[in-house]
Amino acid sequence: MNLDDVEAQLRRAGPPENPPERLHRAVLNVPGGGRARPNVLRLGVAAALALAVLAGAALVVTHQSPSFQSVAAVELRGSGAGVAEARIGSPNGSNRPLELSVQHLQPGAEQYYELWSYGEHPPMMLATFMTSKDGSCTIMLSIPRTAGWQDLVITPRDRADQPLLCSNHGRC
Amino acid sequence: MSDERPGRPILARLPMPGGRGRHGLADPSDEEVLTLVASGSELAFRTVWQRYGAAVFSLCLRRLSDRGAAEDATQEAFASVWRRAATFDPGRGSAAGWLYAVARNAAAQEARHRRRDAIPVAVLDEEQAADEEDAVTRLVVHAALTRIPATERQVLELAYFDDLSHSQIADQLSLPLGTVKTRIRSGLHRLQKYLEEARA
Repeated sequence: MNLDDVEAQLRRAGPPENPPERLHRAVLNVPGGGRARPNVLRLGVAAALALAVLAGAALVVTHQSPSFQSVAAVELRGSGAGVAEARIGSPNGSNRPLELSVQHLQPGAEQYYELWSYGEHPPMMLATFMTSKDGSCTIMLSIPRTAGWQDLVITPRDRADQPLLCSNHGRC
Repeated sequence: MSDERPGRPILARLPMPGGRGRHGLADPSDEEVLTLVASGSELAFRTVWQRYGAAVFSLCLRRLSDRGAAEDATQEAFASVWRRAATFDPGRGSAAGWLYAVARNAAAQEARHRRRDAIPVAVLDEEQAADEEDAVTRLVVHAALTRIPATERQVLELAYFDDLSHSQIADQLSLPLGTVKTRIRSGLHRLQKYLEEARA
């Protein structure tokens, strides 16, 4: 492809249409579960507001503690019944909060585990934690704001070669 | 979220699973971004929206000829991107081709939905009958434009969309003629790189 081709493609493409602001908001709400159709949204706004007023309810974000508003969540799974979810908060200065909830991870073992970010090179250990007898725990920690959080792995302590739960399921 | 509208580049830091992206952390390829979306990265999803939002909306608008329908189809397309990014296989085609198929299906679904609801919407069949390659190219060009610096995009849009001469652009932007020519050439080279990447 030469620059003449690029010019020709540009001319043929013509200018794109800019999406309206409400569509921008609706799409960015998709990962959080916002699936309402924009037109339905427009029509339903008044009804929704009225409902909210009648109920006198504040918006409640499921599974979120009042002091922690997550901006993203990553699910970790492995070959067993264990599952974990890492919820990532907005940066606060040089760091950002991360809440890790673990369930059914080797019940009865009561051992130490490590949370790793494989988005860093070399991988960076983010936390050491211990589960209760039923294999569950919830911990809060801070990670560097620039640290990768999409590729998380939980391993037994000092056994980095034994990933138990992974956000990138190919690793487990 | 303030500066993630389509057409406005964001310098999102996107850690790459298994290593740095081909273009470094700040400018991953579309394929790399879709892979991250599949792993649940909202940041990557926003990057897909930033790159392809206007392109997909334009495509839906051309197909449906109704802004409301195009909005619905675009939202549905991106909901599909979020849900089904894991089905993207780089070995079977480009990210742009996959996104085009998602957008085309969403527009078709929206058209069927509108017809069923007897809402009068003119469904344009001309593009469906035309070469789909052109539609993919349009999508790729619009997405590539979001990845080049705003100063270069601005002069390219004036030159190729508004058909202004270099001198007219220089006058309009109060820039030296040489600067305009430099930006156009630089912008075309960047576009060339991204278009070739999308076709790879």
